[in-house]
Amino acid sequence: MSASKLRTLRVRDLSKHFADTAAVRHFDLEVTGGEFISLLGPSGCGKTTTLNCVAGLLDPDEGAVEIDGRDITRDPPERRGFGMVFQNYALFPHLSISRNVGFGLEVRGVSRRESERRVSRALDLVQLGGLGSRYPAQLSGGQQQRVALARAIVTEPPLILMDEPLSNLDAKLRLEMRLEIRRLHQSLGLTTLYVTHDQEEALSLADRVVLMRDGVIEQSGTPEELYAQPRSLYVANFLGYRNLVPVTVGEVRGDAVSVAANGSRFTGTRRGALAEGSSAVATIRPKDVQVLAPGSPGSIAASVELAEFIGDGFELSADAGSGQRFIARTPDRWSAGDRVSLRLPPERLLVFPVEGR
Amino acid sequence: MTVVARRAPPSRDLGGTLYVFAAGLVVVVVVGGILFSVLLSAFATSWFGGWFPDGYTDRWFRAAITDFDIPQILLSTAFITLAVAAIAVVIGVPAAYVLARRRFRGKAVVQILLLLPLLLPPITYGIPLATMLYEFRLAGSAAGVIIANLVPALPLVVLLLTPFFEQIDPNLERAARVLGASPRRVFTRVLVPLAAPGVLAAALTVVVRTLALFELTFLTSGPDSTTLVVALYYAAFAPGIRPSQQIDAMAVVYMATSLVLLLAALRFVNPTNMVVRVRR
Amino acid sequence: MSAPAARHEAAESAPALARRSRRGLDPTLLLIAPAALCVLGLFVYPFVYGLALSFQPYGDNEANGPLGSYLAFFGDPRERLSIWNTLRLAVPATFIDVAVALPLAYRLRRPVPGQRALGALFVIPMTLGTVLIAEGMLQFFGPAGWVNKSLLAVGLVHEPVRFLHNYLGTLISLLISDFPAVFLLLLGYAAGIDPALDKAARVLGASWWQRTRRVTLPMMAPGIAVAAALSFVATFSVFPSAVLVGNPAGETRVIAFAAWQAAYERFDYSEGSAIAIVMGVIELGLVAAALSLRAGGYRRMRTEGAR
Repeated sequence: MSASKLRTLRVRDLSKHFADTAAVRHFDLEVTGGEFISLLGPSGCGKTTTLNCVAGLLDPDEGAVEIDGRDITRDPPERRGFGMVFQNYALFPHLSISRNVGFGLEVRGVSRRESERRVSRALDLVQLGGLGSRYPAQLSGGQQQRVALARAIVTEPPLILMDEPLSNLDAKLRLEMRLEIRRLHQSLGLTTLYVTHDQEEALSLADRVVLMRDGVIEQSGTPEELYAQPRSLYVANFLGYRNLVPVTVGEVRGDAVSVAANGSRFTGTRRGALAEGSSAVATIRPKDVQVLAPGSPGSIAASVELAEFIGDGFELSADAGSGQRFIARTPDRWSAGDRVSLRLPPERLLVFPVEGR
Repeated sequence: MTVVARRAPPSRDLGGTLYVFAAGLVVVVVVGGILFSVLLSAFATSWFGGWFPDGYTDRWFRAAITDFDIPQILLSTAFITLAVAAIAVVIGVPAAYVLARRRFRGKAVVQILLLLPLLLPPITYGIPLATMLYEFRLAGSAAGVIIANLVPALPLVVLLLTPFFEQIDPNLERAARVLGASPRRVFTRVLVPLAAPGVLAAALTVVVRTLALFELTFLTSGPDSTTLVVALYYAAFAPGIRPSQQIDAMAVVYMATSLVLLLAALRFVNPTNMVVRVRR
Repeated sequence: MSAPAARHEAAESAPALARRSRRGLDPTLLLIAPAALCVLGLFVYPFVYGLALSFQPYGDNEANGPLGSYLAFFGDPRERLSIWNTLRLAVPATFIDVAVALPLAYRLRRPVPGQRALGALFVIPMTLGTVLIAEGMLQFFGPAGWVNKSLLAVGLVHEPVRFLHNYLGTLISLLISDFPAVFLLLLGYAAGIDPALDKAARVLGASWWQRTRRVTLPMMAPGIAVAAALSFVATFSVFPSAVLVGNPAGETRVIAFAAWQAAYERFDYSEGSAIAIVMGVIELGLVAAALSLRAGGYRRMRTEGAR
């Protein structure tokens, strides 16, 4: 366990435009050494642009990037000394695995012996010991990914940047490499900035998640915070609140709010400013919807349209009338056509104002 | 300077960009200079020693039209290039389709055979080919010129269209068959509309290249079957017989034809396709 | 050549067009027959015919046995010299064009302002063809042309430079007419190189020169080999410009001109074919060498997995 080489990375008021569209606007971020930060968002939200500005591959139009208080905004990438893992790995096809991994050492003028020692240690770390003389084309996707990791860490950089590194792998490998990345991060004391569009990946890997939308930060915080207290409907939707119910706001009492939809009334937790009588959206995760026997009190009557087996239970799509559909996860077996009652626990049902944009 | 006013970011490779524009400038100066001096000379009454001609006239064009029989040359050029393109497309499209869709024994041999005429310069096979055409009494006729120009044109069509057919999803054909279309209808209703842009581009490329290709027509043409480029060569080869302005007038006719065609072609053709690309 | 007779082996690439018996002939394959016959009849047969003809010497050469035409070519210092005359045009022209086009193509992978116009600009000389370039040079590079006028005006020279009817004129015309093909080939190749590789090298700390030497050039090497080989093939067969702006009786008496003279001025088709065959052998040898270099380079590099 070694200590991080970085104290702080600060990104201040960063903006970047392409032609007339703003890819990133007024982005602020402070990273402490040893942290694992994930930039999360759909494609086009500006997360990769931000990463490339930190790497030096793009010039920001405004703002600054600072390492331990030193402004590196105008430093070319080759003088920043970061490590980076690319989406398609970007391994040099004409160089052997050893020389790929050793590339950064070679161009820094590290002696041959020292370089060989560090390369073989890095390859051992990613469990590719003995494959050094192969070429990238002879390796599987997962192995190429490991080479890319080894190449990024071998120079012991203060900061590692990863741009959707797992998106080219199949589901099983993705899980395996996720653990691997987290393990390397911890055991080597790395500081990592990780870009992904996969919320599960971001939540499971990161100490802190920065969720972006249209070039600005929508919410940032620990995975637990984002998961339990999404700040906006957008965040909620992105993090798996798949049920959306248009409602009319009734009485607001503190954080509790009663709402009405299609004649049924229920209570939820208020998120944001809600005025009585205004339109709002109530949202809840499928696994928080409770599926009960028909006629249970305080619940919504619905009929099961589809029941999908998902391993540890069923995912139901249920019609509550007037075109309102709920998705619910339940350990119990239900079949299409069954009548059910859906209960929406007030503390799990979040009510957001309708968004302006 | 933490917050910099928004400005054009400094180019990361100013040197490279400058090089591109410097090279572009050299091309403009040299090629533009060549074309422009031909153009001015063709309209010059005389041009001795000055930066510009002493006066302007269109008489060289009128002289060239009658002396070189330009209408006849244009006609035979159009006939020959269009015929070459049409035949190359008719024969080449099915071949490209087969190469894109099927694997068969001897495929590599066929591919190498189709590549060779593009790799060898025309004069190498042109001399034996012309000799053979003389044997069959085809040399000197339009038919002979068309046959000779087909040799590089057909492989070009196949080479351009094979990747084009490869990127048409074979499932589209399968889907059409499953939906009840006969092979003939699959061809006319699915493949032809999908392939049309590629075929058009290939045909245009053949026309542009045949127009500029000198050697094969030079070796096989007769007085009635010459193309513009060969006629221009003969005119320029025998200087002194005619005033240089008249030869330049002929060059302008050729230049205008190629430029019009190039502009038309560039609307449909990626310039990269105009050279042989050995695929990776 | 056995295309029509070939069996189809791969059912996976066969759409439903042909489902005859498994061993039978796939009728779709017949579609390739016209093209195959065309190439056989118009390219292979004439080539074989020319080869045979080259071993049937004509006239005085008949006395020297079947190799008479070749002996005549290689035995005559003036004829033999045409190979050297061609090489000293083709090699520098290829070298210069590749050297100029390489950075251009590599830079143009990424957009610059006016990309499309620039692309068209570099292609124009190709569509104009060698004859027009050479014809136009007569005026532009002539003793009273704009080039000499400018050089005199600036004071770089005191009397007009002789650009025409010599080695220099032919070299210039080759440089101009050969450039587009070299450029487009390299551009096509450079476009296929993953731009992330350059970024990766930068982030790993490689300077401009280190990236050029360790990444760009090795990656471009196969493309350079192909472009140089094809450029050499084209310039080695230089013909019209060697006549129009060169000195075909002397320093630019190139091999293509020698072949043409033998066949069309002396009507010695045998020697004409022999010289054409010599040309073909030299060129094919070079192309084969370049392609094998490329294949060797690429066997390791095929990176389907990394794409």
